[in-house]
Amino acid sequence: MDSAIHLFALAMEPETKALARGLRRRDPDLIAALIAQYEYRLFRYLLYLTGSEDAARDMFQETWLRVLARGHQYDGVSRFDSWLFSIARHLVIDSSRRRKMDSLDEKLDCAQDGAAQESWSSEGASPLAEYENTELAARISSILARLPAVYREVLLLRFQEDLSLKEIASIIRAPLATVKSRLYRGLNAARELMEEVQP
Amino acid sequence: MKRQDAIHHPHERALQLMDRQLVEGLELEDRRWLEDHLGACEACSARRASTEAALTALRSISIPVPHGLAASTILCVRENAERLKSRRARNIALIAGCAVSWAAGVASAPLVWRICEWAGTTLSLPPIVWETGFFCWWLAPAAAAGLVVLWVNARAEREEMNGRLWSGPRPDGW
Repeated sequence: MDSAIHLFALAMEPETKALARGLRRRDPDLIAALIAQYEYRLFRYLLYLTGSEDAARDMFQETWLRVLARGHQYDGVSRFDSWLFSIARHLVIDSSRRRKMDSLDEKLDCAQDGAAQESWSSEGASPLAEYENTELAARISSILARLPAVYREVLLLRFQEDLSLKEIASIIRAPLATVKSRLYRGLNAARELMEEVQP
Repeated sequence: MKRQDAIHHPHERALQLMDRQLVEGLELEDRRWLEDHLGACEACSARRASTEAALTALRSISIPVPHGLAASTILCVRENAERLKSRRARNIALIAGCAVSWAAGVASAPLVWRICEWAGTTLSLPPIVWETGFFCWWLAPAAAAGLVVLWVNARAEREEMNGRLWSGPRPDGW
C-alpha cells in the first residue's frame, strides 16, 4: 500500500513541481486554469466551513488572490489541494477573528460549554438546506451545521475531500493524533446527532 | 483488561473498530473479527450500513456554484497579477536607481569633499559646518530613495485595498 502511494507520489511529482514553478512566476493563465479546476471543491469546502454563501464567495476570491501573492510558498512536494485548502482555512479563521472570534478552537469551547453556537452556521435552518438532494442528505447537512467547526472540518476533509490524515494534519496545522481524535469525536458527535434526528 | 472489556462489550468494540476502519484503517486480525461480528450481529450491521449510507449521502450532496464565480475571480486575479508585475518592475527600477545613485555618490565623494572644504575655507566657516554639509549631501540620495520607497509602498497598499474591495462583475442571480 505504502509503495503504491510512493509510486503515485513519484508520478505526481513533475506535475506539482511544474505547478510550483508556474506559481512562483505568478502565471495568471495557470492560476485561471486552477480556479476552473478547483472551483467546485474549494467553494464547497468554504461553504461548509463558513455556512454562508456570501462569505464563501468572498473567501473564494481572497483565497485565489492569496495564491497569486504567495504562490512562491508552495513547495511543489505536497498536494496542491492540501495547500489550497490550508490557505482557505486560514482566511476563514482570520475572517472570524476579525469578527471577534478568536479561533475555531474557541468555537469548540463555546459549543462544549453550551454557550452560544457558531454565529455563521448553527443558528436556525442550515444555510445548505436549498442544496440538499435527498432526505438523508438534508439530515446530513443539518447535522454538519450543528457540529462544532473543528469536528466538521476534519470530517469534511476526510470523507468528502478524501484527504489522508497527514494531509489533513498539514491543512489544519495540528499533530496527527489531534486529527485522529477530532475525527473520532466528530464521528461520535455526528452519530449522536443522527440518532436525535432519526425519523 | 482491554481484551476482557472487548469480550464483555463486543458491540462497543465493533463500533470502535468501525470508526477506526473509517479513520485510519484496520489490521487484518481486527478486520476479520469485525466482519465475523457484523455477520452475526444485526444491530451492528445495521449501524454500519447507516454510517455508510450517511457517508455516501455526504459525498453525493451537490452544491450549485454561484454563476460567474470562477470568471469574476479569474478577472480579479489577472488584474492583481498585472498590478504585482508592474509593482515588481517599479521596484527593480527603484533598486537600480538607488544602486546608480550610491555608486555615483561613492565615486564623486572625494571631489565633493574637496569642494566643501574649499567653500568652507573661502567662507571662513568652522570645519564642523562644511563637514555637516558634506554628510547631508551624502545622505540626500538615500533619504530621497527612502521617501520614494515609502510613497510607493503606501500607494501599493491603497491599490491592493481597492483591488480587494472590487469583487468583479456580479451577474444577476447571485
